Amino acid sequence: MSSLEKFLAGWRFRARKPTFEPDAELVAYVTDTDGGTSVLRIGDTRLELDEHVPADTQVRVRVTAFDGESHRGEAELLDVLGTATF
Amino acid sequence: MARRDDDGDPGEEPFEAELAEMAQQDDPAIEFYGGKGVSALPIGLFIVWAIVQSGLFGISDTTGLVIGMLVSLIVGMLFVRGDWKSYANTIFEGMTQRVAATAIVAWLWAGMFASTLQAGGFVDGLVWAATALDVGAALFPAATFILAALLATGIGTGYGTAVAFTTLFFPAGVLLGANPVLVFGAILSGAVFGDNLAPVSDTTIVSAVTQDADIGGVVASRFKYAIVPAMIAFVAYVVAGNLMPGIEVAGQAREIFVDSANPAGLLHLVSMGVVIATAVRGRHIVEAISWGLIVAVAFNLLFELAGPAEMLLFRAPARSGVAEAVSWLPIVEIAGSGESPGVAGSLYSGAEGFFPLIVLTLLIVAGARIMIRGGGFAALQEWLLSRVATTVTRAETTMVLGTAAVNAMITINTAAEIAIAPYISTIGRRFNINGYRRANILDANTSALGYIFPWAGGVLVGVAAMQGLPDQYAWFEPSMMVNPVAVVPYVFHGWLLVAMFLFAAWTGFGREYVSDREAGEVGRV
Repeated sequence: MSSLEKFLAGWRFRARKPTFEPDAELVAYVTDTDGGTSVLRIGDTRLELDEHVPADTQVRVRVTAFDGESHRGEAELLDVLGTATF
Repeated sequence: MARRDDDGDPGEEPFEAELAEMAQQDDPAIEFYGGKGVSALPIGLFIVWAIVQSGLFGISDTTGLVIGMLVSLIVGMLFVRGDWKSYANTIFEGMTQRVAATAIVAWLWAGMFASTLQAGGFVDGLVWAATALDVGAALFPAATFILAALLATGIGTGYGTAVAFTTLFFPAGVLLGANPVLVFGAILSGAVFGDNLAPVSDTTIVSAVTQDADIGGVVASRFKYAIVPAMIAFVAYVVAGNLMPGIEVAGQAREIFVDSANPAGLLHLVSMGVVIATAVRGRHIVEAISWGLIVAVAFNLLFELAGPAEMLLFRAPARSGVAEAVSWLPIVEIAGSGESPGVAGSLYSGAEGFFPLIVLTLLIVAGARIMIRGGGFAALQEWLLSRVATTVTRAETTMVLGTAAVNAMITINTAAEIAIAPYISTIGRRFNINGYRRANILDANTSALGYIFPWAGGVLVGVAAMQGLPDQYAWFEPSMMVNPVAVVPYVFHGWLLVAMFLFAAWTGFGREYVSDREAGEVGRV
């Protein structure tokens, strides 16, 4: 990303419930556990993970299913990148 | 962010080894009499100490807060159930975290840079700009805001800006017929702007390192939140400058500026630009500030803005034969009678100025670690997340208002920022809010309110500088001084910055998620 792009990034109104396309790969933190299922909340959108991973772990995942109405989806764990320390 | 190498067994999924390791991590290791909540005692006591010392007694002494944190850590230990060793070890564990080390290194570099810019007459350059612009009473507050913002963005310290501008620009503005309250408000607004945006600002550094983001990236992402309020504030100062009357005083404003004005000081706009451009391009903050420092030292020497001894000086005792032999060097001198030997200069004083804050940071981070190990942090966080920050909008609003509340209580803004940083990090991460966004919410409100509340450190240093003016100028009467309460509504940029972040939280302006853009790590080269 160029210096100019860094200054221009984020000049927009971002939705509370972002939408993801199936097969999209993304990096995010595991935020909590719901009935034994690890969940990634991205804004008010929820992605359920196929493996149990502790909260505050940064993971790379692939979206496997997503419902644009309820803003809920499922994701497959691809990689564990690390844990937040602070 | 602790990253793990992929060293699992061949044939295993690459992440299985990491997951197994995480599963083995220990639960809270310290038990307290009275339950998990008591693990918050060291931090809680410190906050009470800070409120009493800085808020009630009006003492802005960072070393005093260090003692407060030490006493709080000792009191906390008395409530540990069982062996005190784990408590003691947790203090070490907390102090050795990378987050503290990163902030400390950046502060030391920033301190040397800021002090060298001041030794090189950056303020004198801005004073010259003010005389060259030759603005009248109505436009003086708006011009003061812009110039104070420039100084604060260059030297990173809003407190230093408040002192320098209250000493020079404030009396000049009063003489010119500008409204004193408005001029002081404009100075504080400029201090807010720089404290918020400068890569060498202590609060910028803390906001970036605690939210796992690189400082250059934070500055670039912060620009969009800072520039709109700054433009509105500028217009507001123009309008208010035309509406609010000044005081009639016999004298020439220009005379105050004459001795100080020096256009060459403006060369340090280049030094400042070097740091900002290098940091935003993604270079390590140590590298960025080092380049800026090299340019600043070169300008000081080439254009005789500051001599070598003003930047570094060894004042050796007369008994030192070696020093005597090399005393021809411009940075070595022999201490005369009545002079104590020592090292001096902008490099020395700039780094030394951060020593108390460094010790305080290490101790606060240790206190926060105890709260984590004792389970108090998780309990408070769980309450916040289940009852208060239940949606991303509410989470961001909580972050804005929480930062504001802590800054209202702890008036030394950097200390307040360190205390609230772990909560901002945790609440924001719960909704995958990007590190840049978290850092911006944390710093904007810290910077703004640290110059708005009448008891805030930034306001008080300005008022303290103002109290010296009657001794300095025969015409300046104590009645011309600004009451800290009176200036509250006129710190336009500060108020607009807080409003901007409430607007941003409610509308999603500027919001970025972790999945949108990964923040560069602070330690990255």
